[in-house]
Amino acid sequence: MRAIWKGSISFSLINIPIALYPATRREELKFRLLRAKDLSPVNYKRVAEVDGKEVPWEEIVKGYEYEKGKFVVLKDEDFKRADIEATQSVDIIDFVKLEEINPIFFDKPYYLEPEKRGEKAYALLRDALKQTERVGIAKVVIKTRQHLAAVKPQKNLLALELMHFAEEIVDASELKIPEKPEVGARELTMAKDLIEKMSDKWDATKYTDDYRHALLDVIHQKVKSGGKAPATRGAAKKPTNVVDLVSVLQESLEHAGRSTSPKRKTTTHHKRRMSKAA
Amino acid sequence: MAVPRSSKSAPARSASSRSAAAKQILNVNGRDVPVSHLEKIFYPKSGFTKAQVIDYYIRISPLLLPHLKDRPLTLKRYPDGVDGGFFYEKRCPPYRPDWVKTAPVWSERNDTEIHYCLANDLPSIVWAANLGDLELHTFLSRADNVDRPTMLVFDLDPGPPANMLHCAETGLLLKEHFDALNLQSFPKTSGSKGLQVYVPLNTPITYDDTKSFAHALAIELENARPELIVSRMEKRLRTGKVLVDWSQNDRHKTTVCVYSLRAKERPTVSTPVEWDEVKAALKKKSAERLAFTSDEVLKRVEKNGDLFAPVLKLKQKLPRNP
Repeated sequence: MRAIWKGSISFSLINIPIALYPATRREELKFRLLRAKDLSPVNYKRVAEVDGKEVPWEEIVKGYEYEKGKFVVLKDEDFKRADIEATQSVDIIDFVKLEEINPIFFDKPYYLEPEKRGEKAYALLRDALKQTERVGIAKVVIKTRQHLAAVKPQKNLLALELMHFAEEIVDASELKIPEKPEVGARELTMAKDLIEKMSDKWDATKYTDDYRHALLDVIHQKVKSGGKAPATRGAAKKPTNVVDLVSVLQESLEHAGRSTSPKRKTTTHHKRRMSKAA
Repeated sequence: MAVPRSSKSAPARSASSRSAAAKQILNVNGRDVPVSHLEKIFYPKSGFTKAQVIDYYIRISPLLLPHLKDRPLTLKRYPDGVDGGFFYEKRCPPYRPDWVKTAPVWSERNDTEIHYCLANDLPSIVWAANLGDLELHTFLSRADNVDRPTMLVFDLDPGPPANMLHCAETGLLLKEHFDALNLQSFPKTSGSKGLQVYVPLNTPITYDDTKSFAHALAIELENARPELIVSRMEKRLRTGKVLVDWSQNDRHKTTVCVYSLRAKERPTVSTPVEWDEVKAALKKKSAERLAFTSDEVLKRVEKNGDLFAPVLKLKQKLPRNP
């Protein structure tokens, strides 16, 4: 694991040198765009809007459109100037109870590792947070952005979770949401009962990305068969006609209703087999 | 033939169903029974679907219903098929249709009445099957007199490496014993690994009587054949032997009903057999002869009718001591 950022947690007079590691990764399959006839990879070019000419990287600058069509150019030193104060520290402002924070505010988790001479203070903060059941709310600048963040104890380590600022949370008041459900007590009982039945202990390992796994299978099959479409379409589900299954059962019922004497030799109906996907 | 109708996806209904669109109505003897997810595979190793489960129960119902009638039923539900989770449901679900009859049974443990489902008609069976109730577990008594068992049962449960053949041998020993007492006994497969022996009573008796009789007989058999038979429940004692489980003769216990499916790899059924079949299986050393899937059972009953019919009718008196 490579640290993506180094700095320190600071609050009051305490300073804990730490390194920041991403706690999650995106498990996404990446695809290249190719030219169909010879599978040559296709690249993008940065071209100028004005004349369509390609612009080399060294001639590219970043601009902020402060008014339609009007730009102010920001150079590296400008960015540095803006974050020079904050870059190296996670400044804890308050300590709050975790349950007071709406989970919608949490954005992206990182692990914190103590750097040299930070171990003792790191453990101290971790245990103090655990025992007081609180998290530290901090501001931190990473790259070109200031973030709100929470410093949380998580088992034996400290985690830093980047958070949204309140102004980033979209107002939901425009959505049309029913105040009270127009359902009776019976429906509510049914729904609650169903929830009860489907209730389980939270186990993160239970849920996997089925689509990604299925797609990987398809890829492996295609690689094996030299890029040709595999002969079988994998475990693709056949469409089933639910209505037909109902009529098959309905027919069974007609028969069951008629034959009260099981000893009577009846033929055709019993011989009929149900197909899996009628 | 009645035309299947799809239920209207009224908002109220969708609250009770994960996918209202999949919900269908089956007309069962004039009752509308909602069914859903019929295409779902309930026995993955056999590709046996939920529709096939319901179909089996519909077809076997003329023989099954008399055995279910008025007996408090514990549902053993597998909503996602045999490889998914299951749960026992003693209390008949509150969202049952009003035509599903229930019977109150006092539960000391819960200090309250538990209303069990009664599967007294075909719509109730179809309704239960649609809930993923693969296995039907019933009382040995009827709801009007829950303290009076109508039969005595031994559940012969093999501890590996013991198998069905050891159960067959043990069952035949039981039969010999009952023959000597002039009592008729009836074997059925459990639909799982073992064999079950039923002695019809249908005369006034209590669970205290049947249980102590069964216990005494189990001990007697254990003493006679200690290398084959064990009467105590501890799993570790069962290795390579057959547990003669006498403890099923209890007001609080349910036993898998004859013709019930079991949640095993294949859709096997608790199937009534003849003692001659048990003997033949033992002689030929073929445990397979005492394993029947739903299809095989439907064929068997066309030929044999209900081998278990006497269990409901035959009046027999249990002697005080075995």
